[in-house]
Order: sequence, then C-alpha cells, then structure tokens
Amino acid sequence: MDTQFALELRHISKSFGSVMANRDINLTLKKGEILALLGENGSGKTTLMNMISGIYYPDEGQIFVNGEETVISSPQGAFRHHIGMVHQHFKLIDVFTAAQNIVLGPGGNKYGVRRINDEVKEIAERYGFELDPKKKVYDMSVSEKQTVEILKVLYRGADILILDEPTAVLTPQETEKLFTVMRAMKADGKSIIIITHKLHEVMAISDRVAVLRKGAYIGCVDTAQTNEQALTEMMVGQKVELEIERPVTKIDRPLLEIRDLSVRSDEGSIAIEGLNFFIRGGEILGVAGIAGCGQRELCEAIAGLRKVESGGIYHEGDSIVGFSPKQIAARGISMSFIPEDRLGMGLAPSMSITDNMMLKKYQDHRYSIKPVAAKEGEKPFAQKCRRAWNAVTSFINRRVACPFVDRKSARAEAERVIEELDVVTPSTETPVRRLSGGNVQKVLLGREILTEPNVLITAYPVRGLDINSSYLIYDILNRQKKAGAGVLFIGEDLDVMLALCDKIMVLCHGKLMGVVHAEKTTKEQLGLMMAGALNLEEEKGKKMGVAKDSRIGEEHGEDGTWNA
Amino acid sequence: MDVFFANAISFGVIFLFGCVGEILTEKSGHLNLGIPGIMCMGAAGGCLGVKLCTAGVANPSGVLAVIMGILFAMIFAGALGAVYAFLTVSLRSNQNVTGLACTIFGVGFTSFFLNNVVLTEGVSTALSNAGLKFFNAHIPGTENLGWFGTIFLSHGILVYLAIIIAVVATVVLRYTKVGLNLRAVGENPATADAVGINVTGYKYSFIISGAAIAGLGGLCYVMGYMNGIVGSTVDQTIQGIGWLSIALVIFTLWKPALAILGSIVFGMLYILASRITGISFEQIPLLNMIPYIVTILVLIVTSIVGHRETQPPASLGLSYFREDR
Amino acid sequence: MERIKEPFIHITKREPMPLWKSLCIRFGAVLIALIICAIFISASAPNSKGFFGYFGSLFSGAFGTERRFWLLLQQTGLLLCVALALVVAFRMKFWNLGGNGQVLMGCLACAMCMYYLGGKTADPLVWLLMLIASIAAGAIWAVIPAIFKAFFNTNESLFTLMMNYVALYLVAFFVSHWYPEGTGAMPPLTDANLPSLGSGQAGRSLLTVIVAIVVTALIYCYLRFTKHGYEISLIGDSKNTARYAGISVKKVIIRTLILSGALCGLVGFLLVGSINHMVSTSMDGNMGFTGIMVAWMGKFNPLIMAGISFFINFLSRGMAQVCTDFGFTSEALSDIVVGLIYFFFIGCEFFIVYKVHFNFKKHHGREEPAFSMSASSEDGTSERTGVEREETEKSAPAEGMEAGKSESTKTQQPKETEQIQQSELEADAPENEGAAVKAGEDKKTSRKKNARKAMEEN
Repeated sequence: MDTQFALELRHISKSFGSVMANRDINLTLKKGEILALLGENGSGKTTLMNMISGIYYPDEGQIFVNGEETVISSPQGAFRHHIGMVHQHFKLIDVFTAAQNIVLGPGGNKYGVRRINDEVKEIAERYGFELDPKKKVYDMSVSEKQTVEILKVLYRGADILILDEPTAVLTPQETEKLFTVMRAMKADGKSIIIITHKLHEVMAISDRVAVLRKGAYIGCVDTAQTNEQALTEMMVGQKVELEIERPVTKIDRPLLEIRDLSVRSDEGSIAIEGLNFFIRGGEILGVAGIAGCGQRELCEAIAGLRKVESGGIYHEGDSIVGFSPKQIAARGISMSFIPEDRLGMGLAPSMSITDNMMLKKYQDHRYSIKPVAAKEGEKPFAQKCRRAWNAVTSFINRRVACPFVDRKSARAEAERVIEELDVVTPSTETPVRRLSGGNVQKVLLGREILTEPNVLITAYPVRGLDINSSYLIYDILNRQKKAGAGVLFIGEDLDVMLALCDKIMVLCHGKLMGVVHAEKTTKEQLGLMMAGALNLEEEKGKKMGVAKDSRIGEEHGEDGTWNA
Repeated sequence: MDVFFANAISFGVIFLFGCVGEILTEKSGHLNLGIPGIMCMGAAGGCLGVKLCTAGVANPSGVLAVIMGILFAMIFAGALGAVYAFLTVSLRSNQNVTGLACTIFGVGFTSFFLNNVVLTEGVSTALSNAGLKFFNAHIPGTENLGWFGTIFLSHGILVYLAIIIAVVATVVLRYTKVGLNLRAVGENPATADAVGINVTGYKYSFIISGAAIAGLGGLCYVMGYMNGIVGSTVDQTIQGIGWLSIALVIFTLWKPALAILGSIVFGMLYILASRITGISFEQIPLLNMIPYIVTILVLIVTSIVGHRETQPPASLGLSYFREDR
Repeated sequence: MERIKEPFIHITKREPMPLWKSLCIRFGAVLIALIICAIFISASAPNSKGFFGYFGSLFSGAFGTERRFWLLLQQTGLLLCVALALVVAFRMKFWNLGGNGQVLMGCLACAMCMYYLGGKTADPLVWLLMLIASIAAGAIWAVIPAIFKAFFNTNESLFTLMMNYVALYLVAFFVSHWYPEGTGAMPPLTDANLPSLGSGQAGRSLLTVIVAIVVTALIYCYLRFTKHGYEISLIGDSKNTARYAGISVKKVIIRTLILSGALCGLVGFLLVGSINHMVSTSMDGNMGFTGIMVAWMGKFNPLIMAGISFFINFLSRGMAQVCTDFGFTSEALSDIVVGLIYFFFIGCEFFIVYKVHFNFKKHHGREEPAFSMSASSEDGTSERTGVEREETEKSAPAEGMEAGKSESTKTQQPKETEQIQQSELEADAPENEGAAVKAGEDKKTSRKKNARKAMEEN
C-alpha cells in the first residue's frame, strides 16, 4: 500500500442542483508538505475542502487517507481521521477564553482551568504561536482568533490541516508569522493544504501548487519550478469570448466620486483604505477583487449603511458622508443599492412581491382624490359646492399625511416587473422567500430600476443565477447605462467583467490596485492585480481614480475646496 | 432577629431551587417560562409522594417519606420539563409560548390535583405531620448554640439540599468539561455542533434536570416552609415565587453560587413585609415590590454596561435547526 | 460507490402548505386533545355523566342561558382586545409578556379616577378622564421596556414580566391605601359607573363587545393597510431591510409599544368602568398570558384570533360547568384542558413547517428514494448525517421519558411509516402528517395512561 500520501482524492465530483461545483478532481497531499490550492472565486476550492472535512459528502469519487479508502461523513468523522479544517469564518465562542475554546468538545473529561491553560500553552509553544490561553475571544484581534482556530485543530490531533484563506484577514506581518508557524508544523510532520488567491504567498510558503478552475482540476506543479506568470495563466485560463454587448454611450461628468475613503469591517479591521474612484453617467465600472477584500463594506458605505471612517463620498459634487439612506433619498439623490445578501438586506423575505415593491417609497403615498369635473349647465350653487369640494380635496391631497399604504400601484408595479423581467411566480402576492434565486434578483433589480436611479450599485448581481437570468441582468444594466446612469458592478467572473464593463477597478485588501479600460487590459493583468502582485498606481507613479473634471466643490464647496 | 434570618434562609431556598433549575436550563439556551408551572408540579408530586407513604400508615418512616417526596417532586416536575424540552428542542416551537403554556398547565394541574386527588380524607393531617416531623427535622441540640444554631442549623433537610445543589451546579458549570460544553451549547449551538458536542442531548438533559431541581422548590414550599399545610391558594403563591425565581436568575447573573446569596436576599425581601413591626398595612405591597424593581434595575444596568460576562447566554430563546446555518 | 449510513429521520423545512391543509392539521390536533380530555374526565370523575354528558355540560356551561352566552361574549371581547394589543408588538418580534401588568395599570388608573372624581364632577367628564387615564397608564407601562429595548437592547420579555408584578403590587397598595380597615378587597364603587346599554347581562356586556369589534376592525386595518403596519411587519421580518429602507427602528418600536400598552389600558378601562366597578390584583384574569397564546395560535391574524379567543373562553366557561356537574371540587380542570390544547397546538405547528423524512435503508435496500429525494430538493444540505443521527436517537428516548412508556411509540412507528413508504412519497404531506399526528397521539395517550395509573394507585 502506497503510504507516501497523507491524503489522496480520486475522481471527486460534487454538484449543487444543476451547478457542478467540482468535476472529477484528483488531488494528492504528500506527508509533511504544504500544498497550496489556487483558484479564482467560485472555482470550487472551498467545496472540495469541505468534502475532505466532512461538511459535504461527494457525489462521486474516493478519498484515501494514509492510503486507506475512507468515508468522511461528518466533521467528527474527519477528526477521527486526523483531518482538521480552519474555516474562513471563525467558529468561536466569544465569552470563552482561548483555552476553553480549544478544549471544547466531547471526551477528555479531565478539565481544570490551570490544566487546560498549561496544555494549550504547551502546544502553542511547540509551534511558536504567541497566545495567552486566558484571554477571552471577544478581546482578541482577528489574527489571535485565527491562532485559536488553528490550535483547536492541532489540539484535537489533526495531522492534515486545511486552512481556508487564512491570510485574507491578516496584515503582511501577521501573515509572515503564520508562515513561520506553518513551517514549524510542517517540520513536525503535519501535512497542510492552504487555500489562497495570493500568488506571492503561494510562492513563499508552498511546496506544490494545485490549481482549480471552474470546478475542474487543472494541474499540480512544484512551486520551485514555476512562477507567478505561469500560475496566473493556469488559474484564469484562456479568455472566453462572451456575447455580452457593450453599448457605446455618451459619457457624462462624474456622478459619484469617492475620495480617500476608509471604512472598517464588522470585526473592526480596516476594510477599505484610502480608496479613490469615480463613476460617470453612462458607464459601467466593474470592481474586481478576491472575495472579502472590502467590496461589501464599500457598497454599504456608499449607500449610507456603514459608518465612514474617513474620506469623502460625493454625489454630483454633494457630500453624502454621514447621511442615512433616508436622508440621501430626501436630498433628491437617486441612488440604488443592490446588496449582496438580497434576502437579508434588500428584501423582506416573508413579505409578498407587492409589499417588497413599495419598500422604498411607501412613505411617499399621498391622497389623490380626483377633482370633480365641471358639468355643462351647472347651477351656480352646484358650481360653488363643486369648487369648495375641489378646494378641500386638493388641500387634502397636498397637505394631509396619508396613513395608508398604496398597494394598488405597488401591485401594478409588481406586475410590470414580473412581465418585463419574466419573473416566474405564482402571483404578485407570493412571499419573495419562495422564489428562486434568479427571480429574487429580478424582483430586487426591477424595483430599483423603477425608481430610475442615476447611480446603480450592484454587488454580485448574477451570483447564483443561471445563464439566461444572468444575460437578462446584463441587459438590464446596459439599458440603465444607455439611459445615462452610472453603474458600479461588483463581480467575480473576469470574463463577464471584461465583456460588460467599460472600466474595471481592481481592489486588493481594500486598496486600489488600479483602474483599467476593459478593452485595453488582459485577464492576466487583472489576475496579477487582484493577487496584489501588480500595482498600477505604484507602477505608473500617479494617483488613480481622481477625475480631472471633478465636480467636488463646484457649487457646494463645503470643505473649503471652492476654488480648488 | 435570628429568627428573621433563619426564616429568610428557609424561604430563600425555595427561590434557590427554582433559580438554579432555571440557570441550568438557560445555560443550554432555553428560556423556560414554564418554571412557575414546573415548581407547582413539584409541589403536587411531592405531596403525592409523601401521602403514599404516610397517610393511613401506622408508623410512617421519615426517611422514606422525605425520599418519596423528593422523588415524586422531581418526577412530576421533570415530566413537564420533558414536555417543554420535546416541544422546544425537537419540535422547535417558540420558547416563550411553550413556557407560558407549561405554566398555565402546571398551575392548573396542581390546583386540580391537590384538591381532587391528593387531599382526600385525613391526608392533610398526615401531610402536616410529615412536614413538621420529617421535612423540618433538624439536628438536635442546635437550640443551645445561640444565634449561629438558629440561623444556620435549625433547618430541615431541603435547605441543605438546595445549597448542596447550588454548589454542585457551580462546580459543574465552572470546573467541568460538561459545564463547558453546556455553556457552549447555550452560547452558540452551531459551534458546539461543529466540534461534535451532542447539542440535542445536552439540551434535553439540562432542561429536564433543571425542571426537576425547580420542582424541588415547590416541594420545599409546601413541605418545608409551610410545614405540610396545603392551603387553597398554594398554586398561586408558588406561581408568584416561580416568576421571582426567573427574575433571580438575572439578578444573580447566571451564577448559581451568587444565587445562594441572592435567594437569601430575596427571601428576606419577601418575608420582610410580614416581619417588620410598625409598618402600616398599606405599605406591605410596596415592600413586596422591591425584588421586582431591583431585578428590573439589574436588567437595565447589565444591558447598558454591556459587559460580556453579565449577558444572558447568546442563543437564549432561539431554537437551533442545523440546516439553517 | 458505497454511501454512508443515512439517518433514520431526516428533517427539512417544507414548502409552505396550502391554508386548508394546515388548518386541518390544527383542527385535528385540537380535536384529539378535546377527545382525550373527554375520555379522561368522563372516566375518572367522581360523579361522571359519561362521554356525551361531558360535551353536554361543556356546551351548557358556555351557551346554556342568555346570561352565560353574554358573559362568554364579554370575556371573548376582553381577551381578544388584549391579544390584539400584544399582536402589534409580536408582529415586530417584540415579546411583550407584560399584558397583565398593562391591563392592571389601566384598571388602576380608571379606578383612581372613579375613586377621586366620582360623584364630584359630571359623570361624562369623569368617563372621559377614566378613558384617557387608563389608556395613558397602559401605554406608559408598555413604553418603559420599549425605550430600554430600543436604546440599550434590554431583554424585553423579562422586563415586561417583572413590570407585571410591580403593577400588581401597586394595585394592592392603592386598594389597601383606600380601604385600610378592609380585608384587602375593594367594594364596588357606585359613582361614575359607565351606563348599561340595555337590560340584564346583555346590557352590561354590550359595550365590551362593541369595543372589541371596533378594535378588531381597526387593528386589522392598521396592520394591513397602513404605513405603520407595513413598517411593523418589515421590522419583524428583517431589521436590516428596514434599515436599508430608511426606517428608524427605534422610533417604530416605541410607537408600537405605546399602541400596545394603550389597548391593554383600554381593557382595564372596560374591566373597571363597565364591568366590575372596582379593582383587585387578580382583575387581569391572566389575560396577558392567555392573550399571548391566542395571538400565537391565531397566527397573528386578528380575524383568526377572534375565533381562537372565543374557543378558549368557550372551553374555560364550559369546563367550569363540567367541574360542577361531574363533582370535582376544583375548577382548575379548565386550565388543564386548555393547557393540553396549547401543547397539541404548539406541537402540531412543527409538522406544518417541517417535513419529516423517514429512512428505511435497512429494510428496503440501497436504492431508497426517500432520502435522495429530499436531498435533491434541498440545495445539497443532506450530507450532515452523523449528528442528525444522534439527534434522532436522542429525541426518541426523551419522548419515552416524557411518556413514561416508550414501547408504545416505538412499536407503533415503523408500521405507520411503512404505510407512508408505500404510498407516494412525493406527495407525502397528508400521510406523513397523519402519521406524525398519530404518533403524537400515541405519546399523549400513553402519558395520559400514566397519569391515570397514578390516580388509580391512589
């Protein structure tokens, strides 16, 4: 029996519904090596790792651990085979200390505060972690939490460690520390799989690199015999021509301008740092970047849902920093935000399509009592009555607040959206939660478009949608573009972005790596920028993302930039 | 004064049973508003247990009576706790609604059961004899030890049992792996699940054992504090005590050890009105109000100060469905 | 490829079922509970009048005379008003468990006006003041927890629960303050009573009934057709979406709880001004809690809630008659029956929301469709097998514990489930439901047997 491999996957496939997440994947992990798993977003890396750690179960294929065929049916099953995974989202209990989190779980009934602290300290020291076992998780920084997660896995005796994008939340210094620890673990005989997007990290830490693209296994190379360029090519593949049209429009002056914006994430770390960019009317600006590099925070900050740490957001030259969504709307600024988590934020899942249609303008409903038209041969008294009545009704229409919602016109709007965007639904009164993903998105997008926004912010608008729905969404966005709106398109598929967007800005770690014209760039260039290997701003030595014809301070010079 | 403190302790332990039971339940992530009903069930079961081995028995054994009382109280209370656990854990019903239904059922059941089943002819004498002679039997000679003996040694067995249970609960919660896992279940069941803790098992065991402990509170009130005299409003009184026990959980910040002190304070406040001489009739309700107002203040202060250690278990009141994550 | 062992029971969320089907399940559950009670009571009562005599007494207690009927309507109206008050808060997922206290405060404020102003000022003026004071008192009692919830996220269910007792002792204080020599009870006040709208009980109850009808209609419209109602449902559904839409969640919480408390205060006004003319600590009749059950069972829909509160009052009034007729010395029997119905009702909800798949791999070989089917319908979440298994294993003995005898459930279940197996699995709803309800029934009966055994031993 060949026991050279700690882990071997043969012909693993997994599909979710009609989507093939992993297709016939073969992968080997040698004992005591660090294997980097590389791939774009949605290339199936995490799905594959979840199958090894017992969260998903493969549809087809075999898993061999130490040369023996194994069935891994649960996270506990994975632990029985000494496989441990550190997820991107930490699963820790805030009010417990580090040590308590680490020893948590069934079995091992000997428990004493001092005892577990010593045990944890001992393990931490063996691999060179710096950790105070008595520190509570809620007092910890992100990197400390990650340390706890890794120690949790080690404490339970894992020989095979899977780290899902461990560096995504770390600063470069913390990353360096993590790598030191990983090398110590490797020296201790552990086998490690690290998922990452960052090429320089791959080069720095791994022994071999396996590349996945669109659910398929592309190949595996020794790190020593490859370079970043070759890896990028493996990762992004050839450019695929998509039949997405990119209409040429007359572009306007900047509609939305972002200056030196910094925003914090929920965890309190800096998610967006010193960002500059602008959107003109009549263009689609794509935002490329690996998942979680600040896209969500950026959108929420612009929409007024997240506190801005510093910097400015200007809509047609007016600062909208610190405004609530309501205040932004009250200023007559039409801006729409299609959030990433559609059912969690943009829509009320248990309410009907009709009710969701009026989400943003239910407040605007006023009385609209029609005046009585004059009749021929009206008697003077009747005329007086009619005039008085009309005066009263027009006063009511103008002045009296209407307590009721207007479901009738909302229903009409719902019907319009359903018809125009081909929403598949039993009726307008169906709760949104019951619709399929594509239809949910159509409802949301349809509602936002009906408000005729001049800035449209869309976060992953085609995520989870099938091809036809996706094309319909591109179509809708193009129509908005033609109508003169500025569209911010946060996407994940580079092919789509290259075909659809006019310009693409690339974020890495919340920092701007550069803004490029979609026609003039290549997928490789974007890939390198996303991975942080290429920074156009530094390369060309000029500040990007600041419009020459800026409208900031034009008429409303609030920050003393009147003459600037 | 000594007698006052002694009384405060012997009344306070009723709260202590209810409070420790509810703490264990809440630590598993379940807010059991059925505690008042469950305590009533304990009283009903306890009376039945004592009746079975005293009424009509020529020479009843004290030890047996106490054991039967405790056993039946725990079984009755545990049964209602199990209904609650089944509905909220397995069937994932709303905890507040289920708890209130338990209270309504438990209080009604107890009132009915005591009047129609337990209190047949001659039983009340048997019960009060048992209460006086068995449940309140204390170490002989404590009368001679002055104030110390009066306050600390003059109590029946249930008082010491309550304190033992509270201490054991503290040890389990703070110093054992089981306690650690239980707290993890109450804080974040998904995390607990991921490390292989049997979430459902923990929830069931601690909801049911919490209910059984709370049931002893009902027994303690009837057989201990009231000396086995079953009044007609016993179910209403225990219900009031039950709500205060839930309040006490907040007051003591989910710590059984603090609950020992807290319950004695609540016991004092509760009996204060009837013990202070020289206050008028109308002031009694104002004194009775104090425990509740204090609880509200504690609730407000802990939420404003927002210290992580004084918050209720994070998943309290939410039912856990694995596929929702 | 060998598949891993599947769990015996797999639970998934089901597609929403049609209204009639869910209503059938609920009616079935209630009916089962009623029949169980009937059998139990008619078999064990000291002075039993038989199974049908039980239902006879039940109906005669509720509808027997005109007076009884009007009292039933009056109680229904009061309970419905409280339930409606709570429902506006519940729709927002604000757990107002303080109905009792808010009603009591309404009662107290009303009684105060009557005590201090009655006979001294013109009656209509006193009536107006009574109304305003009651509503204000209820609203204040509800808004205090709401403010703390809105600004500090203080746990509202515990807060409102405590407020109940503060209100109770305030009432006790004022009663003993006004009547220091008395027994703690307050004699009915003779001044400033609201007028009777007719003769007999009908006249005394009519005002309450009318108010209840008006309030039901208004709340129904408020929740369904107004902007406020829309905001409330939005916050209840998703606080994030509400914020996205620019709603001030704090403001809505406070505003809604003022309404909730005001309605409870209104009930207090009716209780004191029109019905009792005095105040006591038990005047709330536990309606704050019963109202929660009514709101929950009525799915937060005012119209269904009206039916439920009628049914609950029918039961409790009918059971009182049953107790007298069957020779029970305590009237608490009605609480047991109502409590049992709550349990069944709450329990059956599970089978409306979730779907239970039974897996018979052991008996039927590998190509068992049941599991894989449910797997494909869910987005591939069926892989969590190991722990699911533990879960089901755990719940089975616990059920047994509850029932006292697990044998009956264990032996029954395979048979029933095999039937499901044979009947189309795709359309599993009715059969599955039947089995589930039946299983529940078994459990309950065995529990009952247990209880009866305990009684017989006696």
